[in-house]
Amino acid sequence: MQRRALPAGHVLLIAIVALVVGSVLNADGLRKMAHTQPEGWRRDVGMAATAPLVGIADTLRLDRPRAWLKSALGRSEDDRIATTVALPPTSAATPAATAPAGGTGPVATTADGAGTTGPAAGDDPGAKPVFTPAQPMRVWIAGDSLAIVPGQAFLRLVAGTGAVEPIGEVEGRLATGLERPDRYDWFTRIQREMERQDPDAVVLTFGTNDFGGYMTGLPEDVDKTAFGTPTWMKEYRRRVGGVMYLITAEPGEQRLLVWIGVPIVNDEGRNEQYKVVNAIVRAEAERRPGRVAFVDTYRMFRSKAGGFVRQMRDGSGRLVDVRSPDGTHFEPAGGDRIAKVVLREIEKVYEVRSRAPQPDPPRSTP
Amino acid sequence: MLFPTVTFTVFFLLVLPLSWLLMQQPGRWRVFMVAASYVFYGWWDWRFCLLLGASTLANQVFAVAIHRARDPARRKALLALAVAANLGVLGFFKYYGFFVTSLQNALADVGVDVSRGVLDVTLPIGISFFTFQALSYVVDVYRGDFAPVRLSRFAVYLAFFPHLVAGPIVRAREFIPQLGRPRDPRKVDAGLAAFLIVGGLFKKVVIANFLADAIVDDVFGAPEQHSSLEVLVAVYAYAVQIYCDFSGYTDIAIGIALLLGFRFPQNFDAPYSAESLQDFWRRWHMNLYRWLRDYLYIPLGGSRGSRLLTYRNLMLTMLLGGLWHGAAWTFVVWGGVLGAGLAFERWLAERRERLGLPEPPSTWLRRNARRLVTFHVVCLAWIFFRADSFGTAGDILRRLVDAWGEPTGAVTLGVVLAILVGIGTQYLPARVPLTLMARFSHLPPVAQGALVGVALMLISTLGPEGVAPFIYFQF
Repeated sequence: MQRRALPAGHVLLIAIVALVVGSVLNADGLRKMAHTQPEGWRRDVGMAATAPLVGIADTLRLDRPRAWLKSALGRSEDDRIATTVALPPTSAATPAATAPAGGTGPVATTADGAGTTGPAAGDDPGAKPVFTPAQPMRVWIAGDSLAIVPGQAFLRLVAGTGAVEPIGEVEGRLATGLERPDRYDWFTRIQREMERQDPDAVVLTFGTNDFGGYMTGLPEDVDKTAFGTPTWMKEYRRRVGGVMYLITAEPGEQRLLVWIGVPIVNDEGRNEQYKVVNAIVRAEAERRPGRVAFVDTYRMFRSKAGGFVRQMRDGSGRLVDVRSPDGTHFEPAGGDRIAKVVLREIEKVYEVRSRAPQPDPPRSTP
Repeated sequence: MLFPTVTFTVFFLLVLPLSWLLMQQPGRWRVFMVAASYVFYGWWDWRFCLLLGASTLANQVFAVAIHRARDPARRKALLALAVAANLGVLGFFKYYGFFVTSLQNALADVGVDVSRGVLDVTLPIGISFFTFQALSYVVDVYRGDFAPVRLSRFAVYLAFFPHLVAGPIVRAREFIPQLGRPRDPRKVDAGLAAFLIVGGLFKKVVIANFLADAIVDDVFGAPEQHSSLEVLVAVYAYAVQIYCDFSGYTDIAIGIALLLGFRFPQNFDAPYSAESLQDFWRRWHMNLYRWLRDYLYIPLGGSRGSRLLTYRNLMLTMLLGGLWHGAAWTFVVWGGVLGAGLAFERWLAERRERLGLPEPPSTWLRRNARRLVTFHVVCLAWIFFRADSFGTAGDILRRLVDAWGEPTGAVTLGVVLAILVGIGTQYLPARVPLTLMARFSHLPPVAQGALVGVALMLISTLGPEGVAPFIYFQF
């Protein structure tokens, strides 16, 4: 049987039918795609176009095949559009004044110029929880797409100790953050991960995508808000504090959170916004000394003149790419820099040993 | 615009009918198609259009000047100038930072400190592809294989959006004559186009993206955290990922071109069923292979000289082919591994001839053993292609041997299935897809559309969230 060629008009008909059928069968996915667009005409057009599709698909039950397949793949949440931010009511309260093992401390600046908040050096090491290959520190690394390279760098850095056990792989999700739970509901994800996995340490990064100003999941009494307004700042602070609470302040938790801040990028407009985001995160971290450490990658990756650079010198003096060509993400050498600071912060609170501690030798009796 | 996006879908739904409506007015059609292609290209960054436009004008001027010149020395000088200009521009955008940094570090190693900021140069998407296409036009004119055409036709050839940003590298003599022949709007090979587009999307979205997310990125990101089995499977997974990503893109490009009435040459032909590296290069990125053969290997002397010269030409071609892919020494090593393999194969064949040994019998066992060996040599090279540094490549190779018996959580049923599908489909007899395509094409158009719609739903549902860029966009 030979292939049959068709007139161009029939080809157009095939394309249109394919798009209509595909759109109806994928209505829920398209709806979510439209919902998660930045505020503007594209979103409005997308929402208007997908509304009837969702209605038709639901009425004719043509959305079921996609739902069944997603469920079979264990991804039934993919099309869910989170419209609220799930934070416990007590998360808004001021954190407890007492710090866990590791002590308290003011802001410390590390030797490489990165500003961090966390316990000051010189704490009594005897008070620190100890992790060894027999009892490794379980760490969960997650966040937006900027979590991936530093996260993998951290895992490479600690691989030789045997005393750090990652929970799953580094979970970096493109274009997500705390501003748009409809894109991805990190609040529910974090809560579930803490309940299921109970990690000893968490490394997070958010904020790179939290500058759009179009915040979703607002409380009922809050109307639409623009980036940087008092309303936006208050709500973002609530979310950041809420995440910190979920990880470190739930009753019975003894857990360290290292929050990697947003780095300087190759876009002055976004940098001004990132300064706002970083300031909020830093302030919330400072309210939780010994439990939350903030890694100031904005300062870490600035040039001497205060601007963006793609290359920096490594430990042996060689020029290496630390930022990717897109001017935002990290190259592996950049991830390595961050990983070292993250480990330093963890070691202020925990002791991570390659070998189990040896018992003291018996005292000789005279 | 990426192919699997709503934006491109809207764009193409506008371009397709207008293209066929204007087909009978070639002049207007060319203006329309150039404009549409520049809109497509400018969607990433409008400044890229300036570069594309400048390349079009400059290469047309070179081609016409070469064609008109009668003096061989002058023709050669013009060709040299054209090649230098094209490669100079490509070299600046693609390799400036790489060579300056390498030079600075090399000087620092011997105690010479040249602390100078490196200019941050944005790499225009697709520059490697359209530069090679432009060069093929100019060189073919110089060789007398092709006469220069009107600027508008050359502009369509260079900017034609289906192949603009990631190939296939279509040569002028393969495409431009099609512009002169009217495409028959009554005979569009929609069956083949639909298979290519849907198949390409499935390969890219479902297989390639899945494997990247599920195992490849994590293992190559932190090899020491994974067992030997995980690393081995990740290497296989990358072999399948890059095949599905790149061949998926070119399948979509070829399918889109078919819908517009144009035929592109095939770019992949079941490469992982190859029985030798030479066979592999006749099946993988076939257009790049032919370009390197015709415009680099043969002008260097090919296999016409001594044995040593032939090996030199092979190695040079493969090393430069590696460098074409990106500004990193790991790509050069990738080319070197494959070049060394090709040279070794050649040496073996010549030795057999010298000793008067007969060709070994082509048994089922021998053929599949050769396939297995060839596949693993290619996978070895892929390690360098994927790794971000020699350190990572070394970690991967080391980890392949020293961590057997450790946990293997990353090797899931889904990963294994995706690898088996990616490789297994290359062993399907050709009559299977041909029969399916033929039967599909005889269905009523509405039924064809419905089937394609269902396929789109499956692809969208099975693939990971988000639209990852195609790997070859970075080249």
